[in-house]
Amino acid sequence: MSSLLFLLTAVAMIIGWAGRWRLAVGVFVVAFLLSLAWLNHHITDPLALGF
Amino acid sequence: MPRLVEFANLLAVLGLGIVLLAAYGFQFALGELPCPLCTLQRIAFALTAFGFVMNLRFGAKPAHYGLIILAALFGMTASGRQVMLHIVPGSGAYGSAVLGLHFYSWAFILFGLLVLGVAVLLLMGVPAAGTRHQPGVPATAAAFLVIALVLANAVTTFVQCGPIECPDDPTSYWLFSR
Repeated sequence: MSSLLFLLTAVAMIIGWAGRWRLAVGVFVVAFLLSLAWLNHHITDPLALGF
Repeated sequence: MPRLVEFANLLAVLGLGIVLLAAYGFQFALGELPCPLCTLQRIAFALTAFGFVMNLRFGAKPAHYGLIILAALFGMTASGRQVMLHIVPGSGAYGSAVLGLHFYSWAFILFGLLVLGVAVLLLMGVPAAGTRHQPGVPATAAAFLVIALVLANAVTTFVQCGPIECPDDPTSYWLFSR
């Protein structure tokens, strides 16, 4: 999954450099939303903090 | 695009390339495999680089800066979470320290500096809509470098983690331990 996020980000950059602004930003948004979901998947353990 | 703004965007792309290269240095020279949160921070650096690359290609736009800020806030969340995991004395740390701070602490600071830098660049203004922009050779070289590094991360992350998920405390490469 993490490798897919890198791949999507690289594809977004390549598409952007090729001049397709809307498509590049669209792929970026997909990569960003998937990254948020993946971060949420990884931050479920409770923190050992006491106040 | 004013030359100073273009130069700052070029420096940002190169700086993010250096960050990704430094992470590779620790991974391959010192054998410190990135944990899932560490990998997410690398992804956040790649996502911030996207906005700067778009500025180099199309000229500075508020939308590109907005994407950079979103990606940097995502990176601050991932790195801040890892700082919180290790902030209690005796709770250990992950990886080597550089100048007394671990990578996730440096990442948190760098993402904050990126937000600050973007605020300064926005204050310097953006070109009027419709202004033609042609990237030069240094901008093209910097963009290709960071694209190559992000693609390399896609490959090495797959070699380390496989198609689904990295272990919390990785000690070997998924592809070589099958």
